[in-house]
Amino acid sequence: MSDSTSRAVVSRPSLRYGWIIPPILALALIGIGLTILGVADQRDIQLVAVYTLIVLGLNLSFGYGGELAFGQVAIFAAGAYSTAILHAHGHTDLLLAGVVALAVAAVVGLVSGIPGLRLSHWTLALTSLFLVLVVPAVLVIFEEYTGGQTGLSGVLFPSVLGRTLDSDDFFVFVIATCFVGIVCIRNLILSHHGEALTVLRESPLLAESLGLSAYRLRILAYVVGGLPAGVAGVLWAYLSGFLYPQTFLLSTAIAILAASVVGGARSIYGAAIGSALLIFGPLQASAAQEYSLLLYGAFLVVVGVAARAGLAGLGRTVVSRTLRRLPVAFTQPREALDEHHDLSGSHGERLVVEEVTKSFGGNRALQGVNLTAEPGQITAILGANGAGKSTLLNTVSCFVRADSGRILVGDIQIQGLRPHRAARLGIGRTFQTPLIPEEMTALEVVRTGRLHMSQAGPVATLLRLPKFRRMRRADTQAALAALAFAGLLEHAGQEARSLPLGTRRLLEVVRAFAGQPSVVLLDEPAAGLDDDGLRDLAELLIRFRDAGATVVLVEHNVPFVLGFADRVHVMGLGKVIASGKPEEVRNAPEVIASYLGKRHSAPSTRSTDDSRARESDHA
Amino acid sequence: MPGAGFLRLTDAIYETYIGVSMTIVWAGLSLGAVYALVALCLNITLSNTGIFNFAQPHFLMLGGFVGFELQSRWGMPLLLILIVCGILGGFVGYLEERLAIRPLGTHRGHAVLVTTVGFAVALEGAIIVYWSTDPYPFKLMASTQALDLLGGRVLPVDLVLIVLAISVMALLVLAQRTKWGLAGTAATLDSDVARLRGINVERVTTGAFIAAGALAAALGPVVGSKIGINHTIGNNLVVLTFAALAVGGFGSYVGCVLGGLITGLLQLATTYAFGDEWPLIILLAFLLAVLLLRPTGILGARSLRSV
Repeated sequence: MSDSTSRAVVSRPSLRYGWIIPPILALALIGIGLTILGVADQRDIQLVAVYTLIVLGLNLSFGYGGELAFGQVAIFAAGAYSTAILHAHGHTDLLLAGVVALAVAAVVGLVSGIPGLRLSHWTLALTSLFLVLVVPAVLVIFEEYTGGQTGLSGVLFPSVLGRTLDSDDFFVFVIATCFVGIVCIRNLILSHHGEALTVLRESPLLAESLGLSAYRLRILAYVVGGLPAGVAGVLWAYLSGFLYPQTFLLSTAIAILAASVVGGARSIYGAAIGSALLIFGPLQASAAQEYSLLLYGAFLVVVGVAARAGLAGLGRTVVSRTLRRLPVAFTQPREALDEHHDLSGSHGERLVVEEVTKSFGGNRALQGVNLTAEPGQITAILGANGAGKSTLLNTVSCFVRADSGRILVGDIQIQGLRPHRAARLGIGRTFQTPLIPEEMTALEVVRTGRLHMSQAGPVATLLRLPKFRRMRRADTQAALAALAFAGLLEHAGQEARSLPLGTRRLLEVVRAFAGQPSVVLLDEPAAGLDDDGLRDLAELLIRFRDAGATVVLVEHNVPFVLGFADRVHVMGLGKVIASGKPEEVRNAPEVIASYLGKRHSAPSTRSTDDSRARESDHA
Repeated sequence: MPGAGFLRLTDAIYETYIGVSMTIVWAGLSLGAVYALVALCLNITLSNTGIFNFAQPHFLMLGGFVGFELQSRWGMPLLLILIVCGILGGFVGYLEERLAIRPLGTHRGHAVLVTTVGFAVALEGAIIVYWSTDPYPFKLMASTQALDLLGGRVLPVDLVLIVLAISVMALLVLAQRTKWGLAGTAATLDSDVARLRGINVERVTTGAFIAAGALAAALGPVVGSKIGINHTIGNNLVVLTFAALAVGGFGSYVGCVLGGLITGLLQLATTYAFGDEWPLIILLAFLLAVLLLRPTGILGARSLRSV
């Protein structure tokens, strides 16, 4: 497939040329600021730039990472005070202060984030709120360095590499720093890191099943989201010239949160919009001091309820509606792609489950399960509700820890691992309800299946080095190939959430295979599908099997499974009660008893027909 | 340190307490009882709807201000004040549920954090607009005559708070065993399944917010006469109560009281030993350590749900 084809499918114009916007805006702002505006207006614009940096970080950790945190203000304070302390010791270089502030920000982020992210969503919100409340006390305790309640004054005359900056120079520096920050965060969000965060926000389970550690991702989002606030602290120190504890109170944190939410927490330029409103607009605190909190609160409730996307989201909706009208370029017919790409790399390994047990309290869900799934075969696990099928699947994928027994993929034992480790060692899986993140195209969804293989580091990502571009191209090609293999190429550029259920199920299967797993576990993939959907699904699974994959599926729909599975295990009350080829299992008395109760007098063929009818009704 | 005035011992209490360890224990327990009471209110919505209502302590603050108003302007008797505050709190709780919770639907996700924080901020904002940012001297219970008890000295209001915390806990533990309490537990575990079982999840949610709001606001005047009232106590109580919940274990009423008392004792002891600036920092460090080493707290045995 030619490179141009993949580009045409992948890139919406808004994303491809998006990088032009920040430099143009920055140059325009600097030009206007230096020629037209007076000192007061310059100062306001610099304030917007400082707040933009802080809000930008909050958007990364809250909007994209899904973790609400107030800690930005504490990090902002840490950055500002470390700069002022450096200044007091005769170090006025902004770059040095920036490096120190970044280090301090990372340390504060890690110390508060590692414990704060252990539990549910509001834990971080509260530990970081606590952090903000502690800031004044810390400043008073270290009065010797921070000036305590009276603060530090005379933080003036910054320099860069030995050259002292005048106020115009500093203005240019602030605007430039802000736009570098915007570009960095933009490049991070529009990358595999950003996609990993989107997956995490949709479901931590999905992230784990794709080989991503949800905990590490959350910490990363929170810590990286704190870095711009540290830099903002450096700028603030020299902009204000005077630091005292009242700047870094909870009310500042709430103002920043309001700016983030109103501008649009899931946006990059929303940070600038929200910050501008904070300084110039209705969010302005000084205009009506006593009403400001009431106003912020009302804003948060209204925006939280009504328009989750914020102002930037409104703009984006308008833009994307316009862009959707543009013709989507498909230069090559789908058949041509099919020929070139069979799904290489889907070499299955043997899966062995030995004497696995699992109890939930007194409920012995698995009572010593043994089974083997061979590569190049479709292994089906059947059973009534409560038979232990899903528990077995969750145990094999390490989402549930086995009490005893062994689970082997090839020669590697995986029992007891964290789910994302198991995923990295070759366990791919799907879930009963489709988990498709918002605002992703089908191609992007499939590409997330390869996230654990994406190797470009943060530096390569931020600077868009060739290594990053190569990796993205390879990922995109592989995802396109996988889509082509499944006959879904025509949907590549469509929003995945809006696809019909059958297509979404296929997409999930393709995503599970895109990471080149050794074993793929499918949790009731046929649930809710009509006849066409069932046929497409069976066809796809057969294609993967023929390519050498190890396919394991748990199913309710008996006739569907018996139609194409190579080997069938029937579970009842936490044990495998029958195994064999479909035709052997179909007539096994244990199976009939398990499905219909023990009524041996009835003719067995009749019973199976009944069970089939019942099962398809069920499906 | 602005905004944390109530965290210091009021001078009157401080004088009586110098140097007597049992006196410090009593003071710590009564401060802990405050956190325990707030934690109990928070736990009502937490265990019946799964929502951490960030604004809950602000209901207490509201009750404190309203109680002050009723006492100083109209000279209302204590019992009537508590009833009026309770009714008002129930109404504001209903308001919060209708404005900030229900419009989000069943799968609220992260938006509920934003809206409950927003409601808290708006409550604080409203209080600032009406009562300004000044602190109010507030004594609901006039007696400041300290009693001698178990070798320490203790104020009547302190004893009332400790008794109150334990009785409210007992009441809530019993309530959780009623039909309404079981319905709430079911709604928290899986709202869809609860709905299939015929539980009116919306009504349970509204009920929990009204009950928690009423209880918190009614407690406001009592707690206010211990810690004083000003517009910052809502946010301060949020974090300290959260520490209490984390230590005791989320979702357990007994854990609320245990965690509250531990938090209060620790705060008083560190204030006594190191001075006014340190307790918050030490408590934060303690909270982080608990979250890191024992994220379920002492009594929270709720296993983390998976698939």
